[in-house]
Amino acid sequence: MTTPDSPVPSGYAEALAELEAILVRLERADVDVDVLATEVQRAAALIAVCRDRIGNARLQIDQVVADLGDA
Amino acid sequence: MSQAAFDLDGDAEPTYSVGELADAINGVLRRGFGDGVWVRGEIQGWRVGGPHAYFTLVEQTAEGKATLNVQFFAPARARLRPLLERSGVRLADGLQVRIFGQLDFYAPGGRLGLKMVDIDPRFTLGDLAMQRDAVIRRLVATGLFDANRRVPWSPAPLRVGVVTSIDSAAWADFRHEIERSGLGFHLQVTDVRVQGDQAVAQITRALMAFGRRTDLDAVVLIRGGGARSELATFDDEAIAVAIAQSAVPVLTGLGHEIDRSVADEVAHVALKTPTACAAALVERVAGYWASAEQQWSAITAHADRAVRDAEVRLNTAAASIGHVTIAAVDRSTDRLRQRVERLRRGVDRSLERADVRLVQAASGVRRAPARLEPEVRHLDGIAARVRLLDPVNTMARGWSITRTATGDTVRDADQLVPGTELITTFARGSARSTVEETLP
Repeated sequence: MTTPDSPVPSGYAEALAELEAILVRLERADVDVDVLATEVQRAAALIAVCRDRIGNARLQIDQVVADLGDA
Repeated sequence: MSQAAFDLDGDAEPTYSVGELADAINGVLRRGFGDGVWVRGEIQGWRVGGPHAYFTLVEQTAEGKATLNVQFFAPARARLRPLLERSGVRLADGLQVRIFGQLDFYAPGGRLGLKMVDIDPRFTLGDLAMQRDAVIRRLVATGLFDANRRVPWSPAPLRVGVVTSIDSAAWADFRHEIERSGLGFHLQVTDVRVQGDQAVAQITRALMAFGRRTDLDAVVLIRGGGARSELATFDDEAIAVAIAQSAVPVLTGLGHEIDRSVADEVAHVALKTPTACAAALVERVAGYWASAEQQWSAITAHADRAVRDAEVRLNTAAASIGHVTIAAVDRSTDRLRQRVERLRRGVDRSLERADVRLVQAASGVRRAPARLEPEVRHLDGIAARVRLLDPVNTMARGWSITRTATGDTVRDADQLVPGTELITTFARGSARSTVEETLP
Protein backbone atom coordinates (compact mmCIF):
# COMPACT_ATOMS: atom_id res chain seq x y z
CA MET A 1 0.00 0.00 0.00
CA THR A 2 1.12 3.45 -0.75
CA THR A 3 2.30 5.35 2.36
CA PRO A 4 1.93 9.09 2.86
CA ASP A 5 5.70 9.41 2.57
CA SER A 6 5.85 7.80 -0.89
CA PRO A 7 6.63 10.23 -3.70
CA VAL A 8 3.52 11.58 -5.34
CA PRO A 9 3.01 9.73 -8.67
CA SER A 10 3.34 11.95 -11.69
CA GLY A 11 0.93 9.93 -13.92
CA TYR A 12 -2.69 11.07 -13.92
CA ALA A 13 -4.27 7.60 -13.87
CA GLU A 14 -2.00 6.43 -11.07
CA ALA A 15 -2.57 9.55 -9.03
CA LEU A 16 -6.33 9.34 -9.52
CA ALA A 17 -6.39 5.67 -8.48
CA GLU A 18 -4.55 6.50 -5.24
CA LEU A 19 -6.81 9.48 -4.65
CA GLU A 20 -9.92 7.30 -4.94
CA ALA A 21 -8.40 4.70 -2.59
CA ILE A 22 -7.72 7.46 -0.01
CA LEU A 23 -11.29 8.70 -0.39
CA VAL A 24 -12.70 5.23 0.35
CA ARG A 25 -10.53 5.01 3.46
CA LEU A 26 -11.44 8.51 4.69
CA GLU A 27 -15.19 8.00 4.22
CA ARG A 28 -15.19 4.97 6.52
CA ALA A 29 -16.78 5.91 9.91
CA ASP A 30 -13.92 4.61 12.02
CA VAL A 31 -11.17 6.56 10.36
CA ASP A 32 -8.49 7.57 12.86
CA VAL A 33 -8.31 11.31 13.33
CA ASP A 34 -4.50 11.13 13.37
CA VAL A 35 -4.46 9.44 10.05
CA LEU A 36 -7.07 11.77 8.68
CA ALA A 37 -4.87 14.84 8.44
CA THR A 38 -2.05 12.98 6.81
CA GLU A 39 -4.42 11.34 4.34
CA VAL A 40 -6.05 14.64 3.51
CA GLN A 41 -2.66 16.26 2.92
CA ARG A 42 -1.75 13.35 0.58
CA ALA A 43 -5.08 13.69 -1.18
CA ALA A 44 -4.51 17.39 -1.66
CA ALA A 45 -1.11 16.72 -3.23
CA LEU A 46 -2.60 14.12 -5.53
CA ILE A 47 -5.41 16.47 -6.51
CA ALA A 48 -2.82 19.11 -7.33
CA VAL A 49 -0.95 16.64 -9.56
CA CYS A 50 -4.12 15.64 -11.34
CA ARG A 51 -5.13 19.25 -11.90
CA ASP A 52 -1.68 19.94 -13.23
CA ARG A 53 -1.87 16.97 -15.65
CA ILE A 54 -5.31 18.04 -16.86
CA GLY A 55 -4.10 21.60 -17.32
CA ASN A 56 -1.08 20.44 -19.29
CA ALA A 57 -3.22 18.14 -21.41
CA ARG A 58 -5.60 20.96 -22.17
CA LEU A 59 -2.73 23.23 -23.22
CA GLN A 60 -1.18 20.61 -25.44
CA ILE A 61 -4.49 19.66 -27.02
CA ASP A 62 -5.29 23.26 -27.71
CA GLN A 63 -1.86 23.69 -29.31
CA VAL A 64 -2.24 20.55 -31.46
CA VAL A 65 -5.72 21.47 -32.56
CA ALA A 66 -4.50 24.93 -33.44
CA ASP A 67 -1.65 23.39 -35.50
CA LEU A 68 -4.06 21.10 -37.34
CA GLY A 69 -5.65 24.18 -38.78
CA ASP A 70 -8.51 23.17 -40.96
CA ALA A 71 -7.07 19.77 -41.91
CA MET B 1 125.70 -90.90 -95.20
CA SER B 2 127.22 -94.00 -96.68
CA GLN B 3 125.16 -96.36 -98.71
CA ALA B 4 123.60 -99.14 -96.77
CA ALA B 5 125.81 -102.22 -97.11
CA PHE B 6 126.63 -105.27 -95.15
CA ASP B 7 130.08 -105.59 -93.80
CA LEU B 8 131.11 -109.06 -94.89
CA ASP B 9 134.64 -108.80 -93.71
CA GLY B 10 134.01 -109.69 -90.10
CA ASP B 11 131.50 -112.02 -88.51
CA ALA B 12 128.87 -113.70 -90.59
CA GLU B 13 126.19 -111.65 -88.80
CA PRO B 14 125.62 -108.34 -90.59
CA THR B 15 126.26 -105.14 -88.68
CA TYR B 16 124.76 -101.70 -89.46
CA SER B 17 126.38 -98.44 -88.91
CA VAL B 18 123.98 -95.97 -87.19
CA GLY B 19 123.37 -94.13 -90.39
CA GLU B 20 122.82 -97.38 -92.23
CA LEU B 21 120.31 -98.49 -89.60
CA ALA B 22 118.46 -95.20 -89.85
CA ASP B 23 118.18 -95.65 -93.57
CA ALA B 24 117.11 -99.26 -93.09
CA ILE B 25 114.41 -98.22 -90.58
CA ASN B 26 113.07 -95.65 -92.99
CA GLY B 27 113.04 -98.27 -95.72
CA VAL B 28 111.08 -100.65 -93.54
CA LEU B 29 108.66 -97.86 -92.61
CA ARG B 30 108.09 -97.05 -96.28
CA ARG B 31 107.45 -100.62 -97.11
CA GLY B 32 105.28 -101.25 -94.05
CA PHE B 33 103.04 -98.19 -94.27
CA GLY B 34 103.18 -97.48 -97.98
CA ASP B 35 102.33 -93.83 -98.80
CA GLY B 36 101.41 -93.00 -95.25
CA VAL B 37 99.18 -93.71 -92.29
CA TRP B 38 96.08 -92.16 -90.58
CA VAL B 39 96.47 -91.66 -86.87
CA ARG B 40 94.28 -89.97 -84.27
CA GLY B 41 95.02 -88.34 -80.94
CA GLU B 42 95.06 -85.11 -79.00
CA ILE B 43 97.40 -82.26 -79.91
CA GLN B 44 99.78 -81.25 -77.16
CA GLY B 45 102.83 -79.02 -77.09
CA TRP B 46 101.87 -77.15 -80.25
CA ARG B 47 104.65 -74.82 -81.31
CA VAL B 48 105.58 -72.93 -84.42
CA GLY B 49 109.16 -72.71 -85.60
CA GLY B 50 109.57 -70.47 -88.60
CA PRO B 51 107.24 -71.63 -91.34
CA HIS B 52 106.98 -75.06 -89.73
CA ALA B 53 104.95 -76.32 -86.84
CA TYR B 54 105.58 -79.12 -84.38
CA PHE B 55 103.42 -80.94 -81.86
CA THR B 56 102.95 -84.17 -80.04
CA LEU B 57 100.01 -86.41 -80.71
CA VAL B 58 98.93 -88.00 -77.45
CA GLU B 59 96.60 -90.77 -76.43
CA GLN B 60 95.75 -91.59 -72.84
CA THR B 61 95.49 -95.33 -72.62
CA ALA B 62 94.89 -97.76 -69.81
CA GLU B 63 98.61 -98.44 -69.73
CA GLY B 64 99.54 -94.77 -69.66
CA LYS B 65 100.32 -92.15 -72.21
CA ALA B 66 101.24 -92.89 -75.83
CA THR B 67 102.90 -90.09 -77.77
CA LEU B 68 104.02 -89.42 -81.31
CA ASN B 69 106.08 -86.48 -82.52
CA VAL B 70 104.55 -84.74 -85.51
CA GLN B 71 106.24 -82.37 -87.90
CA PHE B 72 103.98 -80.12 -89.91
CA PHE B 73 106.22 -78.58 -92.50
CA ALA B 74 105.63 -75.41 -94.44
CA PRO B 75 104.49 -76.93 -97.77
CA ALA B 76 101.84 -79.06 -96.05
CA ARG B 77 100.73 -76.19 -93.84
CA ALA B 78 100.29 -73.93 -96.88
CA ARG B 79 98.39 -76.60 -98.75
CA LEU B 80 96.03 -77.42 -95.84
CA ARG B 81 95.35 -73.87 -94.71
CA PRO B 82 92.32 -73.28 -96.97
CA LEU B 83 90.72 -76.57 -95.90
CA LEU B 84 91.24 -75.80 -92.20
CA GLU B 85 89.89 -72.29 -92.50
CA ARG B 86 86.90 -73.48 -94.48
CA SER B 87 85.99 -76.03 -91.85
CA GLY B 88 86.73 -73.72 -88.92
CA VAL B 89 89.40 -75.86 -87.33
CA ARG B 90 92.46 -74.20 -85.85
CA LEU B 91 95.11 -76.58 -84.68
CA ALA B 92 95.90 -76.04 -81.03
CA ASP B 93 96.53 -77.88 -77.82
CA GLY B 94 93.73 -80.09 -76.59
CA LEU B 95 92.25 -80.58 -80.01
CA GLN B 96 91.39 -84.14 -81.06
CA VAL B 97 92.60 -84.69 -84.61
CA ARG B 98 92.85 -87.41 -87.24
CA ILE B 99 95.87 -86.76 -89.41
CA PHE B 100 97.69 -88.45 -92.28
CA GLY B 101 101.46 -88.52 -92.75
CA GLN B 102 104.57 -90.50 -93.40
CA LEU B 103 106.46 -92.08 -90.55
CA ASP B 104 110.06 -90.97 -90.59
CA PHE B 105 113.01 -91.85 -88.42
CA TYR B 106 115.01 -88.68 -88.02
CA ALA B 107 118.57 -89.79 -87.79
CA PRO B 108 120.14 -86.62 -86.33
CA GLY B 109 117.67 -86.68 -83.43
CA GLY B 110 117.31 -90.40 -83.26
CA ARG B 111 113.58 -90.02 -83.06
CA LEU B 112 110.62 -91.41 -84.88
CA GLY B 113 108.20 -88.82 -86.15
CA LEU B 114 105.27 -88.34 -88.42
CA LYS B 115 105.48 -85.87 -91.27
CA MET B 116 101.94 -84.60 -91.43
CA VAL B 117 100.53 -84.03 -94.93
CA ASP B 118 96.75 -84.21 -94.47
CA ILE B 119 93.98 -83.88 -91.88
CA ASP B 120 90.33 -84.98 -91.56
CA PRO B 121 88.50 -81.86 -90.21
CA ARG B 122 85.20 -83.76 -89.89
CA PHE B 123 86.78 -85.95 -87.20
CA THR B 124 87.72 -82.92 -85.11
CA LEU B 125 84.35 -81.26 -85.56
CA GLY B 126 82.50 -84.47 -84.83
CA ASP B 127 84.42 -84.93 -81.64
CA LEU B 128 83.66 -81.37 -80.57
CA ALA B 129 80.00 -81.86 -81.41
CA MET B 130 79.80 -84.98 -79.26
CA GLN B 131 81.39 -83.23 -76.30
CA ARG B 132 79.07 -80.32 -76.81
CA ASP B 133 75.98 -82.53 -76.92
CA ALA B 134 77.02 -84.26 -73.72
CA VAL B 135 77.40 -80.91 -71.94
CA ILE B 136 74.00 -79.74 -73.16
CA ARG B 137 72.34 -82.98 -72.01
CA ARG B 138 73.77 -82.45 -68.53
CA LEU B 139 72.62 -78.80 -68.44
CA VAL B 140 69.09 -79.78 -69.42
CA ALA B 141 69.05 -82.55 -66.81
CA THR B 142 70.10 -80.13 -64.03
CA GLY B 143 67.61 -77.46 -65.13
CA LEU B 144 70.35 -74.97 -65.96
CA PHE B 145 69.79 -74.90 -69.71
CA ASP B 146 67.03 -72.26 -69.54
CA ALA B 147 68.01 -70.70 -66.21
CA ASN B 148 69.52 -67.46 -67.56
CA ARG B 149 66.70 -66.98 -70.06
CA ARG B 150 64.24 -67.00 -67.14
CA VAL B 151 66.06 -64.06 -65.52
CA PRO B 152 63.99 -60.93 -66.18
CA TRP B 153 65.72 -58.50 -68.47
CA SER B 154 65.71 -54.78 -67.78
CA PRO B 155 63.81 -52.83 -70.44
CA ALA B 156 66.70 -50.33 -70.49
CA PRO B 157 69.95 -52.31 -69.99
CA LEU B 158 72.37 -49.42 -69.67
CA ARG B 159 74.74 -50.83 -67.04
CA VAL B 160 76.70 -53.53 -68.80
CA GLY B 161 79.50 -55.81 -67.65
CA VAL B 162 81.69 -56.96 -70.54
CA VAL B 163 83.83 -60.10 -70.50
CA THR B 164 86.33 -60.00 -73.35
CA SER B 165 89.95 -59.56 -74.32
CA ILE B 166 90.48 -55.82 -74.29
CA ASP B 167 93.18 -56.02 -76.95
CA SER B 168 90.78 -57.66 -79.36
CA ALA B 169 88.81 -56.26 -82.27
CA ALA B 170 85.73 -57.63 -80.50
CA TRP B 171 86.04 -55.12 -77.68
CA ALA B 172 86.80 -52.26 -80.09
CA ASP B 173 83.82 -53.14 -82.30
CA PHE B 174 81.49 -53.47 -79.35
CA ARG B 175 82.58 -50.22 -77.76
CA HIS B 176 82.39 -48.38 -81.06
CA GLU B 177 78.80 -49.50 -81.61
CA ILE B 178 77.80 -48.57 -78.06
CA GLU B 179 79.44 -45.13 -78.27
CA ARG B 180 77.91 -44.50 -81.70
CA SER B 181 74.43 -44.83 -80.16
CA GLY B 182 74.97 -41.72 -78.02
CA LEU B 183 72.96 -43.40 -75.25
CA GLY B 184 74.11 -43.28 -71.65
CA PHE B 185 75.62 -46.74 -71.40
CA HIS B 186 77.95 -47.51 -68.52
CA LEU B 187 80.42 -50.27 -69.42
CA GLN B 188 82.58 -52.25 -67.02
CA VAL B 189 85.01 -54.62 -68.67
CA THR B 190 86.90 -57.61 -67.34
CA ASP B 191 89.92 -58.53 -69.47
CA VAL B 192 90.24 -62.29 -70.08
CA ARG B 193 92.00 -64.66 -72.43
CA VAL B 194 89.46 -66.04 -74.87
CA GLN B 195 91.68 -68.90 -76.03
CA GLY B 196 94.38 -71.03 -74.57
CA ASP B 197 94.76 -72.83 -71.29
CA GLN B 198 93.69 -69.96 -69.04
CA ALA B 199 90.64 -68.98 -71.08
CA VAL B 200 88.01 -71.20 -69.43
CA ALA B 201 89.09 -70.40 -65.88
CA GLN B 202 89.33 -66.64 -66.49
CA ILE B 203 86.05 -66.38 -68.37
CA THR B 204 84.23 -68.48 -65.76
CA ARG B 205 85.60 -66.36 -62.93
CA ALA B 206 84.64 -63.10 -64.69
CA LEU B 207 81.12 -64.34 -65.47
CA MET B 208 80.56 -65.46 -61.88
CA ALA B 209 81.74 -62.10 -60.52
CA PHE B 210 79.46 -60.12 -62.82
CA GLY B 211 76.60 -62.60 -62.31
CA ARG B 212 76.43 -61.77 -58.61
CA ARG B 213 76.30 -58.00 -59.16
CA THR B 214 73.07 -56.16 -58.45
CA ASP B 215 74.16 -52.95 -60.16
CA LEU B 216 74.29 -54.44 -63.66
CA ASP B 217 71.50 -54.82 -66.21
CA ALA B 218 73.36 -57.18 -68.55
CA VAL B 219 76.57 -59.13 -68.91
CA VAL B 220 78.12 -59.44 -72.35
CA LEU B 221 80.54 -62.20 -73.39
CA ILE B 222 82.21 -61.33 -76.68
CA ARG B 223 85.02 -62.60 -78.85
CA GLY B 224 86.23 -61.76 -82.32
CA GLY B 225 85.99 -64.16 -85.23
CA GLY B 226 88.02 -67.33 -85.00
CA ALA B 227 88.25 -70.96 -85.83
CA ARG B 228 85.38 -73.22 -84.95
CA SER B 229 87.71 -75.45 -83.03
CA GLU B 230 88.71 -72.54 -80.80
CA LEU B 231 85.10 -72.18 -79.91
CA ALA B 232 85.59 -75.33 -77.88
CA THR B 233 86.37 -72.89 -75.05
CA PHE B 234 82.80 -71.67 -75.21
CA ASP B 235 81.48 -75.22 -75.24
CA ASP B 236 83.06 -75.72 -71.85
CA GLU B 237 80.69 -76.79 -69.14
CA ALA B 238 82.12 -74.43 -66.50
CA ILE B 239 81.40 -71.36 -68.65
CA ALA B 240 77.91 -72.64 -69.49
CA VAL B 241 77.11 -73.17 -65.79
CA ALA B 242 78.44 -69.71 -64.91
CA ILE B 243 76.16 -68.17 -67.55
CA ALA B 244 73.18 -70.27 -66.46
CA GLN B 245 73.59 -69.35 -62.81
CA SER B 246 74.13 -65.63 -63.44
CA ALA B 247 71.47 -63.47 -61.81
CA VAL B 248 72.11 -60.93 -64.57
CA PRO B 249 71.04 -61.71 -68.16
CA VAL B 250 74.02 -62.77 -70.30
CA LEU B 251 74.41 -61.83 -73.98
CA THR B 252 76.91 -63.65 -76.18
CA GLY B 253 78.57 -62.40 -79.33
CA LEU B 254 81.23 -64.98 -80.09
CA GLY B 255 82.00 -64.07 -83.68
CA HIS B 256 81.01 -67.11 -85.66
CA GLU B 257 78.45 -67.33 -88.36
CA ILE B 258 77.14 -70.86 -88.48
CA ASP B 259 77.41 -72.94 -85.35
CA ARG B 260 76.28 -72.07 -81.91
CA SER B 261 78.44 -72.84 -78.89
CA VAL B 262 77.06 -74.15 -75.62
CA ALA B 263 77.55 -70.65 -74.20
CA ASP B 264 75.19 -69.36 -76.91
CA GLU B 265 72.68 -72.08 -76.10
CA VAL B 266 72.39 -71.11 -72.42
CA ALA B 267 72.73 -67.34 -72.89
CA HIS B 268 69.74 -65.03 -72.41
CA VAL B 269 70.33 -63.75 -75.94
CA ALA B 270 72.90 -65.14 -78.42
CA LEU B 271 74.13 -62.90 -81.21
CA LYS B 272 76.59 -63.60 -83.96
CA THR B 273 79.09 -60.78 -83.41
CA PRO B 274 80.16 -58.28 -80.74
CA THR B 275 78.73 -55.53 -82.96
CA ALA B 276 75.38 -57.31 -83.09
CA CYS B 277 75.53 -57.69 -79.33
CA ALA B 278 76.01 -53.94 -78.90
CA ALA B 279 73.29 -53.26 -81.46
CA ALA B 280 70.86 -55.46 -79.52
CA LEU B 281 71.52 -53.51 -76.32
CA VAL B 282 71.19 -50.19 -78.17
CA GLU B 283 67.97 -51.33 -79.83
CA ARG B 284 66.44 -52.40 -76.53
CA VAL B 285 67.32 -49.12 -74.80
CA ALA B 286 66.22 -47.06 -77.83
CA GLY B 287 62.98 -49.04 -77.98
CA TYR B 288 62.34 -48.38 -74.33
CA TRP B 289 63.12 -44.72 -74.86
CA ALA B 290 60.82 -44.51 -77.85
CA SER B 291 58.08 -46.28 -75.94
CA ALA B 292 58.53 -43.93 -73.01
CA GLU B 293 58.43 -40.95 -75.39
CA GLN B 294 55.33 -42.38 -77.03
CA GLN B 295 53.63 -42.89 -73.68
CA TRP B 296 54.60 -39.39 -72.65
CA SER B 297 53.18 -38.04 -75.90
CA ALA B 298 50.00 -40.00 -75.27
CA ILE B 299 49.81 -38.59 -71.76
CA THR B 300 50.35 -35.00 -72.93
CA ALA B 301 47.88 -35.48 -75.79
CA HIS B 302 45.34 -36.88 -73.37
CA ALA B 303 45.98 -34.05 -70.92
CA ASP B 304 45.65 -31.46 -73.71
CA ARG B 305 42.38 -33.03 -74.80
CA ALA B 306 41.10 -33.09 -71.24
CA VAL B 307 42.00 -29.44 -70.77
CA ARG B 308 40.36 -28.46 -74.06
CA ASP B 309 37.22 -30.45 -73.18
CA ALA B 310 37.10 -28.78 -69.78
CA GLU B 311 37.54 -25.39 -71.45
CA VAL B 312 34.66 -26.06 -73.82
CA ARG B 313 32.44 -27.27 -70.98
CA LEU B 314 33.38 -24.23 -68.95
CA ASN B 315 32.64 -21.84 -71.81
CA THR B 316 29.30 -23.55 -72.44
CA ALA B 317 28.45 -23.39 -68.78
CA ALA B 318 29.55 -19.77 -68.58
CA ALA B 319 27.44 -18.88 -71.62
CA SER B 320 24.37 -20.61 -70.25
CA ILE B 321 24.93 -19.06 -66.85
CA GLY B 322 25.07 -15.70 -68.62
CA HIS B 323 21.79 -16.37 -70.45
CA VAL B 324 20.10 -17.68 -67.35
CA THR B 325 21.39 -14.81 -65.26
CA ILE B 326 20.30 -12.15 -67.71
CA ALA B 327 16.86 -13.77 -67.96
CA ALA B 328 16.63 -14.00 -64.18
CA VAL B 329 17.66 -10.36 -63.82
CA ASP B 330 15.06 -9.38 -66.43
CA ARG B 331 12.37 -11.34 -64.59
CA SER B 332 13.42 -9.82 -61.29
CA THR B 333 13.33 -6.36 -62.81
CA ASP B 334 9.82 -7.05 -64.13
CA ARG B 335 8.64 -8.35 -60.79
CA LEU B 336 10.19 -5.38 -59.04
CA ARG B 337 8.48 -3.01 -61.42
CA GLN B 338 5.15 -4.75 -60.85
CA ARG B 339 5.61 -4.56 -57.13
CA VAL B 340 6.59 -0.92 -57.22
CA GLU B 341 3.41 -0.34 -59.19
CA ARG B 342 1.29 -2.32 -56.74
CA LEU B 343 3.03 -0.58 -53.85
CA ARG B 344 2.30 2.76 -55.34
CA ARG B 345 -1.34 1.88 -55.82
CA GLY B 346 -1.50 0.33 -52.34
CA VAL B 347 0.20 3.32 -50.78
CA ASP B 348 -2.15 5.67 -52.58
CA ARG B 349 -5.15 3.76 -51.25
CA SER B 350 -3.64 3.60 -47.77
CA LEU B 351 -2.90 7.28 -47.82
CA GLU B 352 -6.44 8.01 -48.89
CA ARG B 353 -7.79 5.85 -46.09
CA ALA B 354 -5.35 7.43 -43.65
CA ASP B 355 -6.45 10.82 -44.80
CA VAL B 356 -10.07 9.98 -44.06
CA ARG B 357 -9.13 8.55 -40.70
CA LEU B 358 -7.03 11.59 -39.98
CA VAL B 359 -9.88 13.92 -40.70
CA GLN B 360 -12.06 11.81 -38.41
CA ALA B 361 -9.35 11.77 -35.80
CA ALA B 362 -8.80 15.47 -36.09
CA SER B 363 -12.42 16.14 -35.43
CA GLY B 364 -12.18 13.73 -32.49
CA VAL B 365 -9.18 15.62 -31.25
CA ARG B 366 -11.02 18.83 -31.53
CA ARG B 367 -13.58 17.36 -29.21
CA ALA B 368 -10.87 16.26 -26.77
CA PRO B 369 -10.94 19.33 -24.46
CA ALA B 370 -14.63 18.63 -23.87
CA ARG B 371 -13.68 15.15 -22.67
CA LEU B 372 -11.53 16.67 -19.93
CA GLU B 373 -14.59 18.28 -18.34
CA PRO B 374 -16.04 15.17 -16.65
CA GLU B 375 -12.56 14.52 -15.32
CA VAL B 376 -12.40 18.00 -13.88
CA ARG B 377 -15.85 17.64 -12.35
CA HIS B 378 -14.91 14.27 -10.88
CA LEU B 379 -11.78 15.75 -9.41
CA ASP B 380 -13.67 18.74 -8.02
CA GLY B 381 -16.11 16.33 -6.34
CA ILE B 382 -13.25 14.43 -4.77
CA ALA B 383 -11.63 17.67 -3.63
CA ALA B 384 -14.90 18.81 -2.01
CA ARG B 385 -15.28 15.54 -0.21
CA VAL B 386 -11.69 15.66 0.99
CA ARG B 387 -12.18 19.21 2.17
CA LEU B 388 -15.22 18.11 4.18
CA LEU B 389 -13.15 15.45 5.86
CA ASP B 390 -10.28 17.75 6.75
CA PRO B 391 -10.35 18.02 10.61
CA VAL B 392 -9.03 21.57 10.30
CA ASN B 393 -12.33 22.66 8.82
CA THR B 394 -14.30 20.73 11.41
CA MET B 395 -12.29 22.19 14.27
CA ALA B 396 -12.67 25.69 12.80
CA ARG B 397 -16.39 25.22 13.41
CA GLY B 398 -15.68 24.52 17.13
CA TRP B 399 -14.92 20.83 17.26
CA SER B 400 -11.85 19.72 19.27
CA ILE B 401 -9.86 16.55 19.77
CA THR B 402 -9.24 15.18 23.23
CA ARG B 403 -6.32 12.86 23.91
CA THR B 404 -4.98 11.24 27.07
CA ALA B 405 -1.45 12.02 28.30
CA THR B 406 -0.29 8.93 26.43
CA GLY B 407 -1.63 10.43 23.18
CA ASP B 408 -4.67 8.09 22.78
CA THR B 409 -7.70 9.84 21.24
CA VAL B 410 -10.59 9.73 23.64
CA ARG B 411 -13.71 8.37 21.91
CA ASP B 412 -15.62 7.08 24.96
CA ALA B 413 -16.04 8.55 28.52
CA ASP B 414 -15.86 5.02 29.90
CA GLN B 415 -12.22 5.05 28.94
CA LEU B 416 -11.66 7.71 31.62
CA VAL B 417 -11.52 7.73 35.39
CA PRO B 418 -11.44 10.78 37.70
CA GLY B 419 -7.90 12.22 37.85
CA THR B 420 -7.03 11.25 34.32
CA GLU B 421 -5.09 13.99 32.62
CA LEU B 422 -6.45 15.11 29.23
CA ILE B 423 -5.02 17.30 26.45
CA THR B 424 -7.59 18.98 24.26
CA THR B 425 -6.55 20.36 20.86
CA PHE B 426 -8.60 23.21 19.28
CA ALA B 427 -8.51 24.88 15.91
CA ARG B 428 -5.93 27.14 17.46
CA GLY B 429 -3.93 25.95 20.51
CA SER B 430 -4.65 23.26 23.15
CA ALA B 431 -5.47 22.92 26.90
CA ARG B 432 -4.53 20.46 29.65
CA SER B 433 -7.26 19.36 32.11
CA THR B 434 -8.06 16.68 34.67
CA VAL B 435 -11.19 14.48 34.74
CA GLU B 436 -13.31 15.09 37.80
CA GLU B 437 -16.17 12.84 36.91
CA THR B 438 -17.34 10.80 33.98
CA LEU B 439 -20.96 10.93 32.81
CA PRO B 440 -22.75 8.26 30.90
